[in-house]
Amino acid sequence: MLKYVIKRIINLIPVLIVLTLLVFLLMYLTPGDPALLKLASQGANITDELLQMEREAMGLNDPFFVRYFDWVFGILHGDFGTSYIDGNPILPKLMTALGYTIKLAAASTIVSVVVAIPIGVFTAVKKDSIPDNIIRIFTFIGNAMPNFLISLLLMYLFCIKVNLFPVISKGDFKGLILPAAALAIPMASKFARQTRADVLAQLDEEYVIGMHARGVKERVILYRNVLHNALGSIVTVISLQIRTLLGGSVVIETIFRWPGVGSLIIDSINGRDYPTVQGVVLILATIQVLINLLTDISYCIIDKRIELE
Amino acid sequence: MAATATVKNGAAKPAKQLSKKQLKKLKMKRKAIILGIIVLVVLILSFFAPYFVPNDPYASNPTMMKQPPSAQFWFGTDHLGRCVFSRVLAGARTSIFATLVLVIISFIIGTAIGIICGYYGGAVDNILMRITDILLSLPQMVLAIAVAGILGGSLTNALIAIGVTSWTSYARLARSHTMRIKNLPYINSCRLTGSSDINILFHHVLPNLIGPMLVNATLEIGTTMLSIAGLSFLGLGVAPPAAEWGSMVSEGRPYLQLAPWTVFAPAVAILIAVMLFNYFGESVCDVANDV
Amino acid sequence: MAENLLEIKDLTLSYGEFKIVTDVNFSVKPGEIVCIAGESGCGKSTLIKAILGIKHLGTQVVNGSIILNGRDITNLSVEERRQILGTEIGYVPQNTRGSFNNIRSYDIQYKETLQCHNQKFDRGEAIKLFKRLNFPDPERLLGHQPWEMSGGMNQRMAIGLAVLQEPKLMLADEATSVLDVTSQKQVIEELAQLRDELGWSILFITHNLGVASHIADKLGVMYAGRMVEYGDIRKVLDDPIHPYTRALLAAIPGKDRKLPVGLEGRPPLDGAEWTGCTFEPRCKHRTEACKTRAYCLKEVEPGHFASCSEGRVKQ
Repeated sequence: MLKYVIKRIINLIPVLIVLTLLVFLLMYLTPGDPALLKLASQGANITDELLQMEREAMGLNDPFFVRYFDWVFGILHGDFGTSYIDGNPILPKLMTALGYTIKLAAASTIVSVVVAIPIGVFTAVKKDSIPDNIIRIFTFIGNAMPNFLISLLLMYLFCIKVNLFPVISKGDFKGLILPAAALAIPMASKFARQTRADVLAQLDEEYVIGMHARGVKERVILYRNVLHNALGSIVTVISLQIRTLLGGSVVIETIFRWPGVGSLIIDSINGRDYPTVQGVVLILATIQVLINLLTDISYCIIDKRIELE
Repeated sequence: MAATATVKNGAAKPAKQLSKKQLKKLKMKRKAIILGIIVLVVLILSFFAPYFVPNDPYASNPTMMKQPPSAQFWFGTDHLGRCVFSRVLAGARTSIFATLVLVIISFIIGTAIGIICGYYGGAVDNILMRITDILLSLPQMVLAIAVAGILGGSLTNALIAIGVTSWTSYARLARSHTMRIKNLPYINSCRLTGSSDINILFHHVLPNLIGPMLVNATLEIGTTMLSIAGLSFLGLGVAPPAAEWGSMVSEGRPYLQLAPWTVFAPAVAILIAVMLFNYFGESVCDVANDV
Repeated sequence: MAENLLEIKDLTLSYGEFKIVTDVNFSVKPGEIVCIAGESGCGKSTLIKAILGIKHLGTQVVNGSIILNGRDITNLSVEERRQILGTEIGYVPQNTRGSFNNIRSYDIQYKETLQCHNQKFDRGEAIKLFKRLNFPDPERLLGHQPWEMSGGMNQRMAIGLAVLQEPKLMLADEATSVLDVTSQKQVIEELAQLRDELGWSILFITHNLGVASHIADKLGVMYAGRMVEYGDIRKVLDDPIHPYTRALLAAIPGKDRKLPVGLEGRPPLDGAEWTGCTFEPRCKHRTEACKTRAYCLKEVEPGHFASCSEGRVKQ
């Protein structure tokens, strides 16, 4: 187990190197002169001299790899650079926003898992019954819904028609409910469908008959065995969905004005504040990489055979 | 002898049971074909949609702003008095064909890379597969948002931004199929009889993997369409005033309270299109897995 | 205690509308090992499934009854059935991976099973049992997961769990047919040993007459959904009555280097639906009357039943 985890962690190193290179490249290829952008967004009176000085100060005259290593070195020391707009360091702003996004992502993921997995098991056990068919229609629609449609629909129903929630979320609990629901609906649909498929596949396994034949209770068979074995692929879908969730949260945060990294990245793109964009992408990608690591480890906990591969 | 006995005893029960399975198979096939025809009709209609819209989708009308749905404007009018129904129809072409173009291009690039990696292996394979691993492990949409944001909002840039990562799943799949196919005994006999690599790739490997690859591509259409719409919605894709579903939703958003139809008409159009493509993809997948 | 532990009376079984087994009668006495032999598709596994009566298996009792220890268990509710499964009826499946969840350890699964019957799982007792049955490495066995084990070992672990559950009747559905000869011998000997020690009755389904002759007290031969011959094992094997049994025995390669005599044709799939003799199309001794003569298992000599004695040469 430990060996497996260590191997996985070592595997992360090239991933992180390519990741930082990619994010850096993103910035490097930005059209336009960063120094000019920075000065322009700060509203300075631009002269050639000032531009030259700023370029030197930003290290823009250095070769690519020098700039790259400077940047990585900075990040390793918690320096994500400074914003073009207000000249403040990016990290504190990023961390506050990240806190909000994690709250939102965690709330929606937990809600979807808690709701969708029992539904998935239920529909698998009651395969082809009326409730199964109804739930399948709903999950099929939920799965195909663009996240802005869900958000705007929820907003229309609960903020405009019935004045239950504020249109602009202030980042408090009441403001969390709608964006979390908007993220959770497509995610829960996908989980429910996946759980149903996996549980159905497991129910065909012969050990289920073997357990029935020695009088093991249905509940024990379903929740401690069938679901346990199906968990591997369910975990895969959860980790894949978190990947989609990070993107989806950008859309939903901008709609509900949730002060997370999604709002931050869109504001930064609109304000041409590229170092902040870079910081957000880097942080989100790193989180995704860590989630992938956790996924791999949980595979190993569910099924010891993975370790041997 | 057993067969005559069956006839003699007049019990046709086992034949009936077999045909039940075949019936199910036939039904599945029929469903896929019907859905395929619907998809085709939708594609043709959306391609010619701009020619039979009831009103000019781009003509603004200050006297008819934010009108609710009526006989003249089936889906109402937007904040500039443009006919929402006509705009949804006109937007179908952009939304659907942009998706198809992206799927086809990623399909071709991904498959080509996958086949080369799988067939030749070695260092190139190693490096390319590591890259796909890494791209697959990144949040695709976030990356696309950043790329599109930095390149600037336009349809082409949005397609590039999503395309950066979308080829990887095809590459993985094509590679694994190629590796399976190239080890089949008949490929070895082809080599022994002196067929060139190009010949083997085009005449034996490609025809054998194109089926499962196409199934995968049909399954991807829905998600790709959602990604493009998402970027457009964020203002990073098709820019207004061009009619495209995602950007129409974005444009109508400030008027959610006064003119909800400007938001929901294009959004529901996306939903229906995605559902159609997903349903089609799933039924094609069912048929393919069953054979 | 009733004279018979298990009694099968006029049992007719089906999957959906399709009849598999018709009018089967036999009984298992306490401490007896009964083997049911026949080609695949003859309905012998269906018989086991019907006795288990798990709804997922899809077998339906059309007619007749299954009586366990004087109690009719044909139409039990799901919960009533669950309570007797394991504690009164044990089961060893054909598939060696069919007893346990492959990726959870034995001790968890042992515990889980016993808890469902309000029994306590005693680790020490289990280890003692494993030692008695000569399992390799009994102390560490419980911590393993089934995928780490061979098929034979898995089968023996299933038997071990059955011993802890103390059923009176064991059902073994081709329990040895996928094992190699050594494991086959081990499993059979264990079953025989447990019969001797615990007074188990075992209903053993097999297509291997060699296995049957090794452990069984009684042998039933099934053909196309019907029991064509039933009786003490020695009587059936040494002096077969039904033409099919004789053909079956002639098809076994003997020690005398004579080539076995094969049987032409295949059994009908829908035999259970027929009115006449199901073996008639393949039978050497068939007459016109066979096509219409109703099936009936007659006691040809004491303790030896057969549905037909055409062409029998008395030895």
